[in-house]
Amino acid sequence: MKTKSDWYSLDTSAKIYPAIESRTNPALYRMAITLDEEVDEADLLRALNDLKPRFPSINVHMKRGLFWHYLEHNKQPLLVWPETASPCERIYPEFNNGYLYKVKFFKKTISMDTFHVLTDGFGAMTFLKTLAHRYLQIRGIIPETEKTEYCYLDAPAPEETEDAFVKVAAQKEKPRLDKDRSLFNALKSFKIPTRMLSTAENKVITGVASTEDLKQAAKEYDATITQLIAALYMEAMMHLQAKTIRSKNDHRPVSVQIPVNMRNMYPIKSLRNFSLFMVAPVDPRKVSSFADIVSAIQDGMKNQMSEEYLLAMIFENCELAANPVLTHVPLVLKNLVIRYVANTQGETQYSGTVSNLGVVKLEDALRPHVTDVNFILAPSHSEKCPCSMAGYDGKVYITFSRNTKETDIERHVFRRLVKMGVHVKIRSNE
Amino acid sequence: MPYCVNCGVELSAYHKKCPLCKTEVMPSIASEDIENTDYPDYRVNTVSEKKRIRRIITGSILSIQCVVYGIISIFIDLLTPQGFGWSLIVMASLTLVWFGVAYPFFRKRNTFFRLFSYDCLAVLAYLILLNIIIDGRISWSQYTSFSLLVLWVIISGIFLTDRIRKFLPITIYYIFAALIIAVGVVVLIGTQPLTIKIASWIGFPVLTLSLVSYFAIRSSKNGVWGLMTVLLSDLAIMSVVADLVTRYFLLSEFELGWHSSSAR
Repeated sequence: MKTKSDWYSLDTSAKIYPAIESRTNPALYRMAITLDEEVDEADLLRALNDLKPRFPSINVHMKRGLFWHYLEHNKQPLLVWPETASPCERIYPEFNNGYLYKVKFFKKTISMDTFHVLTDGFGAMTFLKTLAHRYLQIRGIIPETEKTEYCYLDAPAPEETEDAFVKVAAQKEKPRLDKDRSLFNALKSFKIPTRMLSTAENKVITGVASTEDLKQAAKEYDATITQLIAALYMEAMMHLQAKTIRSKNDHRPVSVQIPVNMRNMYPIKSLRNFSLFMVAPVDPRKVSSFADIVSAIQDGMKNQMSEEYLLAMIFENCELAANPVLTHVPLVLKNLVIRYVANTQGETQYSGTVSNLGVVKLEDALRPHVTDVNFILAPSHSEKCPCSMAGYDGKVYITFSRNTKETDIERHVFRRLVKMGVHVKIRSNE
Repeated sequence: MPYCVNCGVELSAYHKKCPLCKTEVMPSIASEDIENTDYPDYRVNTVSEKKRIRRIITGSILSIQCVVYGIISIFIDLLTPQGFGWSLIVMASLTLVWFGVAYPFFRKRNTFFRLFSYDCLAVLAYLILLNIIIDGRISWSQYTSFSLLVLWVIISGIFLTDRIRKFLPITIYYIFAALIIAVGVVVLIGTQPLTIKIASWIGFPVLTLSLVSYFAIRSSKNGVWGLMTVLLSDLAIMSVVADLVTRYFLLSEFELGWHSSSAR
């Protein structure tokens, strides 16, 4: 008989992913760490096996219940995979022993493709850092006595597997916002109109820039690096809209979705999903310069990044997930409804995503052996060119992944950065 | 280190073209050494291939089953004293089963709309075939087939909601729908020479309707629901037009009749 500790219900924000996941929307992302020596497959697999009991909420397989999906401990052997030319390929659990993440290796790089049901960027990067640490311990490069925050020998803390949304909602009082806010905006945003590649390949272009250069460029607009890149991304979208849709009356707002790590606001130790999204919309007809776009993003962030606003979103999500009508609808019907709402209301709210993982902090023992990090979001049918960023060792890795032929967005962003005096080095799988 | 002259970005040594603008890097600068690539060069999606092979095997097993059952039934039918006959119905049923169940496994991509369309066509063909086998001519099957065809047109209109926003697709859809209704009505209750005349008489209102619908959809704020409302009202109006036109031409009277329940 199954005990409570053998399975987990999906966390509040993960409930949507099994319904919307498809061949054209894999709902996953990649974290990668490049070491200073070639990766050995056998040692990597050994390190992965060592971590299995330490991260119980990640080493699971997904099962279908009558009303919800749930995660159950996976007793199948773990696998590591050689890298393919197309990163962020959809994960087929049936070919991965049921696991919802894939650890891949290529030369000096260890990468981890993670289905969003398991965890968010913070949780995946924590897992990957611990994996790299354990791998280097097995290789004899880091001494066994050197412990990490998530040492493989320690037992997992119960707080690491809890649903942080429910926990915060139980501790706080529901805020009353003065202004009305609704889950969905009536206005639909511009979407990249180009067709997806028939080969189902993902193209990835990473631009590596100095953090100092980017800070200097952002300072001219009194903005942060995230705001600068988001503004350039929106500017690129506006140019694309002007190029593809001639009639200005048909132009739609351009809005960018920026994920927010809620752990920065609440002392949560959970390694499962705990991030929300803020959406900054800009009407192309109302902006005349790049500075206007930056200030529109800043205004949007100012409004939506307040604790009261974010707490209201947490309550909204929890109430929706606990809705008695929705809870008692069979999973088959629920998936249809979720997919319909996500396609017609949710995904139309934003043009693209700019996700900043922030500076990746490594422990002293690991830092000298890591040369690069990377963070890639998988493109989907509704979001054909997402942008992701990660910082490490004085460099920012700005990655655009896409499933289309054209490179309008990334070309515009990187050319503009070069014009702003930022030195950009490009690497790609093309 | 190579640079792109167009974009001004530095490129990794293994790039022979700028990934951003596809400008070729000068051969003297481009490094032939591909040792330092960040991604491998092979482009085989092994998992998808495995999945596809498994699907093909499943489809093949189902196909073989259909063929074996067909051969057995023909064999038994030939052995019976009444002579060859009933196994044709079994063959038609097995073809329908193969088309609905096994065939999708051989396709690389299946959408719900495509599957629905295949099933509709298969059932339609099956009904006609069954009618011919049993009665030796098309009789009762024309009514059921026509109903199925109209149902397919309505459902396909709803499924195509996302692609129908442009003027040309919406016009083509309405003309197609009108032609099907006109031809169906003429085949069922009229005579063949009148088909073109009736279709053209229905065609003009349909063109006007598609123009009006196009602007109505463009101006509607709530996309999908607005579109569906327009679509359903158009179907009602079209059935009124089809009714009046066919009655006028076929029965020489000009009053509302069979369409009224659908229009209401």
